[in-house]
Amino acid sequence: MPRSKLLVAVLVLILVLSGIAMFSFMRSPWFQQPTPVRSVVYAYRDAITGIDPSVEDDTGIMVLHLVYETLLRYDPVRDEYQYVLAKEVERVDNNTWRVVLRDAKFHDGSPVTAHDVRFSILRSKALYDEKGLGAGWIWECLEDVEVLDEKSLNIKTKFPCDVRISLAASYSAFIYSRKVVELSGAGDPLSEKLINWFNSGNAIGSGPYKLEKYEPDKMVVLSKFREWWGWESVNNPNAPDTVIIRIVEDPGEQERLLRTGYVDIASSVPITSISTLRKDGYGVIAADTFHNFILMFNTRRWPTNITEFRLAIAYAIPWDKIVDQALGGYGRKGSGLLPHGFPGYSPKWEFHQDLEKARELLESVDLLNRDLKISMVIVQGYEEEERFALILKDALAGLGIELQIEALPWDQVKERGAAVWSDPEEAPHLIINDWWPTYIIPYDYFSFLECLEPEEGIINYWNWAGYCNKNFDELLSTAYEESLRDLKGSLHLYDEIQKIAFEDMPAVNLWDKQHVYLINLSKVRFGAGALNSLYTYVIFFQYVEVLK
Amino acid sequence: MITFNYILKRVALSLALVLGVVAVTFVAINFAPGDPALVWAGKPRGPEAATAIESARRYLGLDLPLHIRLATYIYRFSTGDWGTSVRFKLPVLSIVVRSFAASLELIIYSFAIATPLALWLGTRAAVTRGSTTDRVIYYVSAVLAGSPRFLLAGLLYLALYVANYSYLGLRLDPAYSALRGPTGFATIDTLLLGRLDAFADAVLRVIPPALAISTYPLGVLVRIVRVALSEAFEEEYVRQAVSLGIARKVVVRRYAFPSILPVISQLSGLMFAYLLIDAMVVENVFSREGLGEIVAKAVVSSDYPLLIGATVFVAIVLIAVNTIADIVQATVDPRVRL
Repeated sequence: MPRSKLLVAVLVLILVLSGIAMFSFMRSPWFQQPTPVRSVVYAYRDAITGIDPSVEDDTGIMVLHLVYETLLRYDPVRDEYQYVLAKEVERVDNNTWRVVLRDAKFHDGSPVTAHDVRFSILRSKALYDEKGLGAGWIWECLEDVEVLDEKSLNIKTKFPCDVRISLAASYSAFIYSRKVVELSGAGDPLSEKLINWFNSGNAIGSGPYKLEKYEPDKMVVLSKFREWWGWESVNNPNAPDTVIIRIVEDPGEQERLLRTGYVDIASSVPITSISTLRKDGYGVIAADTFHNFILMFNTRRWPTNITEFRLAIAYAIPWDKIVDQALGGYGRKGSGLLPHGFPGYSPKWEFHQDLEKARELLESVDLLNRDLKISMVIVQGYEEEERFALILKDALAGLGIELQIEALPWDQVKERGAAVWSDPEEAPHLIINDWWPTYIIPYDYFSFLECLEPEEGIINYWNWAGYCNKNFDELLSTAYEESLRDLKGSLHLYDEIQKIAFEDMPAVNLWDKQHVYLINLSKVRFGAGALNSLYTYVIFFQYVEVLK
Repeated sequence: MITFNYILKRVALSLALVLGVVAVTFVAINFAPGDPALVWAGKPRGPEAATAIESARRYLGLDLPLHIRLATYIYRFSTGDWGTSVRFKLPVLSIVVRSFAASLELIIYSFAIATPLALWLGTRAAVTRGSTTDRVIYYVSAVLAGSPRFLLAGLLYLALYVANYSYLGLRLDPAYSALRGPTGFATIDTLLLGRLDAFADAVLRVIPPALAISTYPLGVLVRIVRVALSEAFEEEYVRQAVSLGIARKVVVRRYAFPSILPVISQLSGLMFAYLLIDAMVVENVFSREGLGEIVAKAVVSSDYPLLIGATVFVAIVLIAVNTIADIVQATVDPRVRL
């Protein structure tokens, strides 16, 4: 047979065989198109820093509140606690709270019991007390947890304390199955092995979504937990079956993915694009938050160690331009250190730009027009911080102060801020820290000015001002204990603390940020309850509707 | 015949090189600014914060002298324990391998684009040597080989963006994120899972960055093929075949081409390894996952274990490819062994 004919024959044979193979393949179970599901893709900006429900104290919050549940949730708008895993929480006596659990199941099908609650709370507390990990300090007043039966328990406190504040905290208050110790093979609940087990993508929570896939640098995939107790009360048949949280760091990329339909919700598009996106038919949800941006002054380095100098800078800030120019209108001007709407907030601590006052203050310490150079560190890629820094630079130039701005990645910002304790000259004169709450106690927003005991090596790593004021610390300690007992009754103490901070000016809140979610309106709708300002960055997807 | 001794020597030398790279990388990165303990500890607060940071320091071995840390690292490294990423709290090896699969897939596609095109263009240039076609091919290949890939990638990205090409960026459409396969190659896994829609999506995403990377092997291979074929045409046996009246196509395919294949295959092997560096840059331009993306993230978060792991991994790939190329070359040409 001639070679060309042989070649044609072989080709035909290959084609026929390929056709048969493809036909069989398409009919095989391997080629089953997936059942249509309601899925939502959420582009979030930062990598997830961990998902151990007792240890995680940062961006993992957005996953944890979907996979796990707390006993209570606080609603700042209504100023009331909502029952989550608990169906009753009542004070039995001054130092005892009775908690009755609802009939809920963990993702492995086992019931949520009082033993699990005890295990979870005590692990969170112990991890902080013994290893300094997590936000276990929220259990400061906890004495013990007594299991009464499978569904009820007593929470004993060391002193009269409103434990509901801790039960509804945004971190370290999650309830999970005590089986995790056995499943992870860790003998000790506090061991690194168990922490690593969680962080490897394992979870046994009771939340509305189960963890399916966890790649903290890229994506998290969650699937609907159909046996969740709350589906009936939420009454949202259009809740997503699958939630995909995709880590997309670049805001421009988030916008592009939203526009091309690869993302349904974007958390951080460029500020300048928001109005165009709105015109193009995308939904803009601007949610008030307790997330604020605080300017901290290095009180251990000249010239920011001079109170008048710090106050002069505070008066030089063009306060009324910040929201419009730095935030594109999506935020609120800061007042004191507490964010708008938080217990203890008052508009009376608002600053207004007063360059005359600033000049007077500088003149009083002989620092006016002295061609000073001061440094400022901001977070790289945070558009609003970059814009604010430029506004401030212009304002200070008029006072003869040159502001040198350095934008660094977050982890390096943290390190430079903490350097105020080891080498104040290495730390910048000014630094911006952003803060969101762990629980609904004003102490949270003053704690980063606590001095602790640096001479004994006990350093407050968040006190980037290096601020030490014994009166401030004592008053804060008193206010803290009082607020655990009686939050409303303690607010006058926080007012006094705020006055000290206003006069000493180690730090000032620049703005409260509104989180702007851009959504594809043809696909997604946010229901009431999807966002809650105490639980920063969390979208409670059980309240989100996915339209087909 | 290549001796067992020669292979043994080359492998031993490669292992020594890997060891050296591990040591130098480890020491150099440890002198870089940044405190991984602060990253590992997260956001410790209050009086117990120092305990968390100290625990982190102990856990990461940062409290030990450098030489002990290095020795411990090398031991663990050799047992497959490359440490844990301080940023992502996951084993370094798993992150690096996952990212490498994405980069490797990109390189394979770039070669799939470059190789046939280079063979065709190089041959065209060789057989029409001195003509306008030859000159055009020659100059274009010189530009392609010499242009920085990040620039080409950036221009390509912009052009596609302006043209509303929507398959830019992420390696796989997020809607297909739940798809998982055994190979780590999106295009193969989607096929194995029988998801032709996801396969098409993955291919459309991989092509633009692969095109940008392919410019280097394309430019280099065209020139190599052109020169090698031109030299082969001067060989006595080729000239003899031409004088016998054998068709030019047959002469090229049957007589000239086989003689240049070893050179091309060896060069392709070496380029394959070096393209890993290009892939790391281009991935960032296209916001794709891969080794480049992971290194960038590790740098900004002082993630030493991940940074060391990724760097050493790339070095191992380069050393392994070079070693294999040396052994192959020694097999073909005994003079190399001398």
